[in-house]
Amino acid sequence: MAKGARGTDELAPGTIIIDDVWESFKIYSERAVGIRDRLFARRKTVAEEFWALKGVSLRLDPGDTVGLIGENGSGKSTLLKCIAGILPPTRGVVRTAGRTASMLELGAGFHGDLTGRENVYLNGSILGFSKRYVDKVFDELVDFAGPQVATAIDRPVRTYSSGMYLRLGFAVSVHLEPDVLIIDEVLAVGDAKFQKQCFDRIHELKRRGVTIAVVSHDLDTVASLCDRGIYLQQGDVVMDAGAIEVVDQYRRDVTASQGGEVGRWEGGAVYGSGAMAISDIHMVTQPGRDAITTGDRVAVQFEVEAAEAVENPVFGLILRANDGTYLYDTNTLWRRQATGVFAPGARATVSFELSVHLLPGRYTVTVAASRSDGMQVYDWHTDAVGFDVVGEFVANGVSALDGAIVVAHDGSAVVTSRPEPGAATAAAADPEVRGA
Amino acid sequence: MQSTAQPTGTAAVRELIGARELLRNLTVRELKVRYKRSALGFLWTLLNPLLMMTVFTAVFATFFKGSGLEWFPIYFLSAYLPFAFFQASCQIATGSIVGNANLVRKVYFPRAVLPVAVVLSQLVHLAMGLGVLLVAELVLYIGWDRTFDWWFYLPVLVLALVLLTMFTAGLSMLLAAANTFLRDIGEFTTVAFLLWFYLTPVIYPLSIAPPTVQTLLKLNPLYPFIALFRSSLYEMQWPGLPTVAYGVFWAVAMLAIGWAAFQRLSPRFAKEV
Repeated sequence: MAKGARGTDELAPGTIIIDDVWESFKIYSERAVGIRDRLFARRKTVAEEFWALKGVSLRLDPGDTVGLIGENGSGKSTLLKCIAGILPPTRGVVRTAGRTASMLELGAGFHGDLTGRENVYLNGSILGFSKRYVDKVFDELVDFAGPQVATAIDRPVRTYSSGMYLRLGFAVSVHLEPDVLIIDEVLAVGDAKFQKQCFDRIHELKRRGVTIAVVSHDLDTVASLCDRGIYLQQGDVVMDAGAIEVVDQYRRDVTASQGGEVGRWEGGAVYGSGAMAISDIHMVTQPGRDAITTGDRVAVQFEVEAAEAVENPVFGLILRANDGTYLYDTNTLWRRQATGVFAPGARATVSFELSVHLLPGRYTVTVAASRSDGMQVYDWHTDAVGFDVVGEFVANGVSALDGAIVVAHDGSAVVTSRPEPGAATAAAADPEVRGA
Repeated sequence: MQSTAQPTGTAAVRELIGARELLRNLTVRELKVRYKRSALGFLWTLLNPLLMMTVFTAVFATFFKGSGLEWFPIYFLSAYLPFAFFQASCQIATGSIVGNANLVRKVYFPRAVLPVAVVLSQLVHLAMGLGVLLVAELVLYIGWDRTFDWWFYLPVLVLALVLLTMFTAGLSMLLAAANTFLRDIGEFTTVAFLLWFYLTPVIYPLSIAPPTVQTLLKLNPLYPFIALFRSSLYEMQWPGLPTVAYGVFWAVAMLAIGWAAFQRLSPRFAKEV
């Protein structure tokens, strides 16, 4: 097998062959890293073997765009690392032909004390590209990273804002024109304008025939960028089909497995002074429903506990679409709503009731507690809960504005389409719409 | 079964050679970053050994009524500069995999470039130190003393540099790989190198030790390299063949052991750092 595995030469650049790949991790109940642990304790620690990949076989051809989909721990990131060569498989063979650039972390290898320019060349050579090549794309690359980065290109990157840092990192990864591009959760960079620029660039690479493998929690991204979806469950490939089909199946599985509970997605930043603590943030769905449909009445509910005496704290909620679009932001301060006095240790349950005037898709909720004037944050949980609105596709966008479409023939109205599914009850209650 | 993603054997050697541009960039990074925020910057490369030399000369003059050696500063620097190169390379390289954990976990590149770049950057420091020493000897030759005709012994100096670099690279790779699995290595090296320093005739001549101890001290793998540097920079004589042979043996052996251990362990780095 060893001989055959070597023969990557006959494969077209951009081809990836994964043949019966197994990958195991040893999990020690307590990680032994010192001599004492190795010499004395190790025999007693039970090393549990965890198989992150269990015999995965796949073939990716040049120009394939593949989204790897699965829950946390399903092995999708491990598979990406195998393709990138970072983790050699425990068993099996990975063959990749051509140059691979992995975007597992933007700006990995940037050194704070080096200038932007020096880092671009260093990063380029880490990814395996020659100085001559980087020379050629340098101007275009800096241009792509934006005017802020361009003016600061000869300053040390430690002086960059985190946005500038990520933009430069992204620009390097996508300008080195690899045969294989590996992307792990790094697509949500910068503002909406830069994100669009990133997607355009990735689409361009796709058109040029670069093989792209993506892991993203943003299923809409996967569905729009990828042609092919691979669904992993506990290290096995359970489905390998069109991306949209696989995303649909995954969404159905997630909804089914969660029953009445709606899943919590990646938690964002959590911070605050700690004067109050928020816990148990969850969605309360409409009674009798296990999923959220357009038009439902739901609530975002959480517990608060005061660590010190607090008077009239402000409770707030921000609703965002999964791509970060700001949809709704409200709090008790703006509503001039008193919230009462909290002695140290006092607890309360806070509910934000919402009418889901939202189209099918994924949404995230940020919740916070702050001082009575709103100027000091006690506890802030960014994107603490995510939820999916399910339903039939009838419109694009985010808001469901209960709109039926009426076509009038010679003065007599005929309803040619129903309002959004969730708004059906409202429409039925209004018989005049149906009046002929 | 194997993956072509992380090559082995001669393919790994070819891969390292193919990554010479990365090696150069990382070496330059080491050099630039080292003194980036210090006022004297690169001057420290020269100041450090000179200060050490002053300290040791003063100590010997005060406590031991002089070392009894002619031109003690030259005697000291001719061994101290290579020893400092060896020690700094090994100690910095020990943390080179763990210290670049972010890179190792997220990008694939031949891992050996990390310790090797450390050794190369230290080699630049050594070259500068030796350059100053050679100029100083030249000045001495012209002004005072016709002993230091080092240009006749340049081949010995080059051989000493090549062999010591091989030995250092081997040990650096070994330590870098081992430290990834056993973090104690980093702590341990501090004491180990202090001991090694005193077991190597850097500040004292071998002749002050009793004959039996001398034989033992000569077994020290570092001894032949230091002896070669001394003979070309201070003693101005051709080294004995046994010394050269012993040096070649250790240079080749350590490089082979270090490389083999590194190649064997490197596929697991991403999981361990």
